[in-house]
Amino acid sequence: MADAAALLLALQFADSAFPAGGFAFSWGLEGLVADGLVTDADDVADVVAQQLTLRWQSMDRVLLVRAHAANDAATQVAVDRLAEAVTFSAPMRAGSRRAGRALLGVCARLGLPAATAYQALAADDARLGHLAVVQGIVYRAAGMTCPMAELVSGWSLISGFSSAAVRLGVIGHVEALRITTALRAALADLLAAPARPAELPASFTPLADIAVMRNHRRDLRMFAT
Amino acid sequence: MSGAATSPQLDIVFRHHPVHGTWLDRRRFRWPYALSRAFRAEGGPAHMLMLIVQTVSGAIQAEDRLSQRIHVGAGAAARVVTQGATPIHRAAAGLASRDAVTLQVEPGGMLEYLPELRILFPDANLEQHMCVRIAEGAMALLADGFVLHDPAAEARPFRRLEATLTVQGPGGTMLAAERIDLAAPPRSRGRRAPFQAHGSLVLATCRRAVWLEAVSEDATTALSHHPGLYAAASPLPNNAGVVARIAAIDGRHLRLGLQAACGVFRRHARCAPPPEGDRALDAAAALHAVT
Repeated sequence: MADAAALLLALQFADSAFPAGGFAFSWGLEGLVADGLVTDADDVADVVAQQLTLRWQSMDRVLLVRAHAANDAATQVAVDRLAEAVTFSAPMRAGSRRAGRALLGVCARLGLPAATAYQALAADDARLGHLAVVQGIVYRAAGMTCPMAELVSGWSLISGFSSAAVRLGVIGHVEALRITTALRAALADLLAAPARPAELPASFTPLADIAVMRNHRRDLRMFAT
Repeated sequence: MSGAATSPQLDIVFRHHPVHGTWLDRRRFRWPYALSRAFRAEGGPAHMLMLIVQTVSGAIQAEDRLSQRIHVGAGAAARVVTQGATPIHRAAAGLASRDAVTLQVEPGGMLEYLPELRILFPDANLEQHMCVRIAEGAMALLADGFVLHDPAAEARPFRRLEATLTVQGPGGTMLAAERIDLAAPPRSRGRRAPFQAHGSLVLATCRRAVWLEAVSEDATTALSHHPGLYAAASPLPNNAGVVARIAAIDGRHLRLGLQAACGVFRRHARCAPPPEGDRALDAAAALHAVT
């Protein structure tokens, strides 16, 4: 198996046990549940599918590909600033940076020089460290090709959402597996066509965005977003 | 409503006069636009001038290439509205309607650009681009929203909607940008399904974060009291203003939501503290390289 090393690398970074802080984010799911707009497994599948096709595919993936291609710190920072500018929701920006910085921190502790270098840059600017950008930087530094980095990023979104839904008590583990199985195929379809990194990132997930904004005001909540 | 895109079909400049208040320094328009006299606006500064932009057909057709340019000079205050909701009609394959709006507000100026909702008909294909440039101390209040409508009541979707909104600081540096690119309206299920009308109200202005957070908190509270809405507000990136995001069960409720957010934004705008100044502009300068 010639690609065993590459596959094992991807499996390690995509593992839900990888301590990159992803467990702290529901990306609007908690708010939608609290507001009664997500009540069952079909709702969860619908929300995750929209996040995958209407946000990850056209925004996070685009940013990741640009960051993965960046050959110097200035370009990395420029992509990160673009990520900041195109994220209108303040809680989403904060969550994205928090998740990205957690990933940076883990990779820096693992001894990845690129992570340490970018962590130093992010330490001087609170607006840096968006998750998709950090994924592009550290996955490349770890040795992932861009297509593999896109795959890990997309899969992390699907598994993160389903895990959040289980912890919120909306679905059980078997329903989570059904959802991830269906969305695995959807992700494969998306990955079959190349990303369009030259375009301004796009997204349209208004209900989840609103849920994140509203959830931010709740005193009692399980997730950061 | 077709037209060449070499120069804007609508080109308006508002200026401030120390005695007479805001006045129209330039009012160039051609097909399909029509303008009547401007008049004093209610709900804004005393010298604010209001203008109703009308179009002959009241709709946007597939071949239309529309372009508007509105400039508000230093200290001037203007409100620009439209005659009513604008249907976006079917486009044959390969055709798209294009609507570009360029807004510029000079120091201390205030622009309210509040067009009525877009009504997307089956097979509509709309490319809509709005860019606002705000100087220090300037404010721009921008509304945008769309509803779906199928005269046959068969829920036939539009073909494509691409909409961009860019907020630029002085010199053209990008502070915030949003892009929607939909091949069809997303169909949600369950209790999310009724929310078919979507809109945003943006107050673009470089101010301190604490003020922007207070505005968005108030707007979120105000929006939470309206039935038929799912809505909230948030500070924009780079301290470039505030956005209220509104999902509604229909156009009437979306209008009510936009009006509610408008009321909150105007109330805060009347007593806004001095502009944010250097910090936001420094952040924006770093963006320039990528944009």
